Amino acid sequence: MKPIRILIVEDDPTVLTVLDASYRKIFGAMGYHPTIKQTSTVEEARRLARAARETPYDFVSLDVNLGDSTLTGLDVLVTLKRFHSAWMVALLTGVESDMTVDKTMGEARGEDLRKKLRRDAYASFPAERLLVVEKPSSGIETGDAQRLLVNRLRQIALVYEEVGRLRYVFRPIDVASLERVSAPKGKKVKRTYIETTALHWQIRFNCGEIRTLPDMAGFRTLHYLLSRDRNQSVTPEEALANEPKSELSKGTSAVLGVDPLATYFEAQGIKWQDLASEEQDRLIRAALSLKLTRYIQLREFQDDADISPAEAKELDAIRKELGALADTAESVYLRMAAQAKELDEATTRLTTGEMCEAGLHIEGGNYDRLGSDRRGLDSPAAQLFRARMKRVRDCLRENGFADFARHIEDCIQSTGARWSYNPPEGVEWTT
Amino acid sequence: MIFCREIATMLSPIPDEWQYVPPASLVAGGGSYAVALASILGTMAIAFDGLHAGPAPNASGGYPLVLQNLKQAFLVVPEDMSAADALRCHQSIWDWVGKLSSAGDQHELAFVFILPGNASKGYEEALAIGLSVPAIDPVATGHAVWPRSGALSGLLDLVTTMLSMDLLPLKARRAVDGKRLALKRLRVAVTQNDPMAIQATAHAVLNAFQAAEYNLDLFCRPPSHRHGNLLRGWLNALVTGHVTQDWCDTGRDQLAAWLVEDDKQNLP
Repeated sequence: MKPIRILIVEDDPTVLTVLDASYRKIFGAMGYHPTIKQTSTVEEARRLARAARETPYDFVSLDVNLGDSTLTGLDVLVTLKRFHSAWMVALLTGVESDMTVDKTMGEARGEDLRKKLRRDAYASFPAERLLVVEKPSSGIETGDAQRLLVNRLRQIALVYEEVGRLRYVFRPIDVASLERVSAPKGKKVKRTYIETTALHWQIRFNCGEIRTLPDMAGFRTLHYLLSRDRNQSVTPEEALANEPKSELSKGTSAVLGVDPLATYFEAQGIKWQDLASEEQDRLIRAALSLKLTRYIQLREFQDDADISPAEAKELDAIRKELGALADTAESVYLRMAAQAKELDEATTRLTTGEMCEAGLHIEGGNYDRLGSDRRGLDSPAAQLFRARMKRVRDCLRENGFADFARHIEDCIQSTGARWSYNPPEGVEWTT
Repeated sequence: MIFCREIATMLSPIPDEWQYVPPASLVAGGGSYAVALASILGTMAIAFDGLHAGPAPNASGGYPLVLQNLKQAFLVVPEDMSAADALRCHQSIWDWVGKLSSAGDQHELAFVFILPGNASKGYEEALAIGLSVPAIDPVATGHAVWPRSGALSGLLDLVTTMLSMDLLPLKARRAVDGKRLALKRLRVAVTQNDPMAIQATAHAVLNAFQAAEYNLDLFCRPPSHRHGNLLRGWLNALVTGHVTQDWCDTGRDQLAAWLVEDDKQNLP
């Protein structure tokens, strides 16, 4: 059963009940497992749309007139688009069939209203993923109206199924072009062209919107990874080699032989060297105040390659705020990290055989080259690569491509220092 | 003079501090009150020139999303600022938010107009008309007014009780506002060159503003009061005297210069 997240926005309780039951039945019969959320107000619908930024709804059934004096379903549609929180929307409108509009305003005005509604709706949401569907007229007998509604919902579900085939987001395409055949040296010949083809990877979002990710370095790594044969693995070193040089981490220039702590505190008039180690520690903590705790926490995240872009920015900001004490904070962190590592190693020193048994040592992993003290840890390259992958996923989510981010999470596996892309069998590559 | 004009049209650089610590509050205004308030809230005050110029894009033409965490905006209104200008500042703040937040005009925030001591009740009413609400209610409209003489703790308490709102409800309210609709019809009528239709729509505009024609200033380009006077004069001549082709032509030529652009303040 394929999961499907549905949001129904409808203010009429009777219609809401019919919609809920019908969608469950129809999508259930098509092999989906629906999870349905309901709401009856514009305000709540917009709140849900905002909240679904990271986990968008697969399908939203949206009524236009929701009884609000100023906002309508079209405003909900605008919010769904802004936060990329719906894959497909069925806009259910009563205006299409409401004869009272024609009666009170005249047919021409009624027709204008219907056209305007469609125009506004298609201006608010990508047309290929929006269905504007009329609800059965209130003039029809209740039983017939319900049957008609269910029939239309069935058609909506069929369109969802069809459009859903285009949902997978990347595909290989052959790009054909004409290339001039170069003439032999010194000979003047008629211009000749030959048709050439090249394999390109097209990243296709939300059916038709082809976009470039802002994080080009992460994108390039990902692109490279995806363009490999699915059975091949990419080592972090290979991936890093594929990165633009400017993206590689910049090393910090440390001045060797100078104790930054001593320099800083002696400049404040404190005889640093005369102080006991505990006293020094206490002084450092007092000077750094509350920032140190957060700094150490963020540095741990960074060392674990588990730092988000927001946290990385926060770390930079703290460094800037600390100014001259930034180096001090770093020394404190390194000292604490070294102590923690010693403690860790003392209690958990394993042989290679034991590590293999525990699944911690991967054959061919590059940590052997980095020294025996790195056993059981990812190499810096692997850590960098993992951080970059996380950045790509965050970037995709922030830009509304939650599906793609989830796909990456599901299909890119890591085994220590090696990474591979393993899409499930059912993935359709659109052509 | 040319140099001054160039300076005025220059885009405002985004404060560096925002890049490191995205602010939760935005303060617009000059003077010591704005600077002190910004300092207390841990942000930077944007001066009016920079506010109207808009944020400067980065090298690639995009904007850093530094206002993602923005929760509240404070507009510190100087003593000599008209309500029309305050509403223009309100729009400019939304332009900043629209560019520097991924949610754009759907970013939810609480907006506070901090009014000078000499601000009358009419000033608050004018702001309400500009926002297309019967009265500025902090809980229902997402906007509030606060006297500059009020205690800071009271201001901060007010912000915590306010309902945060995005720009969509405001746009929707403005789209059905009688005053704006009357002005929209007038703009359409002057393009059709039908003196009778122009006269009828002019009547409708004056009726919509009923004995408070000075509020037309709120919908006029700066200098709002001067343009408001010209518009009032033109409208009154249309409805009281014989409609001449000259008056219609004046309207067609001048109305766009007097009234705020369609896309600004969501004027229909």
